[in-house]
Amino acid sequence: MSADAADITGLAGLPDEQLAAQAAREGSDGAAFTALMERYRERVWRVCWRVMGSAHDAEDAAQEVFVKLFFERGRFAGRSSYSTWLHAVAIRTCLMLRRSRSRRLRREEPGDRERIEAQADVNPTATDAVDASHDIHRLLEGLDEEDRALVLMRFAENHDYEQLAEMFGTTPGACRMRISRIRERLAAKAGRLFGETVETKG
Amino acid sequence: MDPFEKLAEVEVPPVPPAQTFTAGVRRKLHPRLLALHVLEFAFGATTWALMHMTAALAAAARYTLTGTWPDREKRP
Repeated sequence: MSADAADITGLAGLPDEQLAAQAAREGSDGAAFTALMERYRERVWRVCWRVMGSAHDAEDAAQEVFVKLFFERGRFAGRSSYSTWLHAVAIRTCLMLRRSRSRRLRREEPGDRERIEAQADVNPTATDAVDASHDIHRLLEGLDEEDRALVLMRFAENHDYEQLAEMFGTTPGACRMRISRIRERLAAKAGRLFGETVETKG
Repeated sequence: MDPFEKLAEVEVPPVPPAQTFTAGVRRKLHPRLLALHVLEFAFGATTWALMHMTAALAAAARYTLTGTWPDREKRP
């Protein structure tokens, strides 16, 4: 059942929380749910692209996020903003997809994970003519999925620690600590990239 | 420069067009929704049927054993 364009336009001015409550009352993917999808399509796409790393996987993941949102649409309790809650749904979905993809890869090509980790363990020297952003992405691939997503949301999407805490179900202090530990771990692996930063940030 | 800050410099590609995106969501959502409704119906209908069948069978067993039906109002 698809929603009418006029109905969706009529809902455009509603605040997120009201729209979500209306979507929760709908029996199917009606006007309110379609309006929510329209409102958050781009933001969900950004999160999915950052975490999944390719446009094809990101599109699949973003669609999966909205399917999940449909089934969980009545669960929004209003403890955080709707946007943060939806980001949390998006991150959980992407992490689930990435984990299932890496499980599948491990079954199909048992050497693949070792290859990725070996690449991440490479300690670039000063003579390496490789782009720093490429290096950092390669290093992030060697992290635990959740740590990687945390770093991406903090630095690529610029979310503050309060938002990160809501998204990852923890406290702002724990997020800060986790990022600092990730930084130390990566600095130990790639001194050239992190050396100066670690020294200056203590 | 903090190497983590390099992450923000990577451009996010444009979001897929609304029509194809929404169609994709619906292609994934509708079969699951249908399966859920079928399951709900199957469980609901089975429970209802079992309750009614059990009452009828219990009454038939009682008639076989005692030769009397339950009260007319309570008949299944």
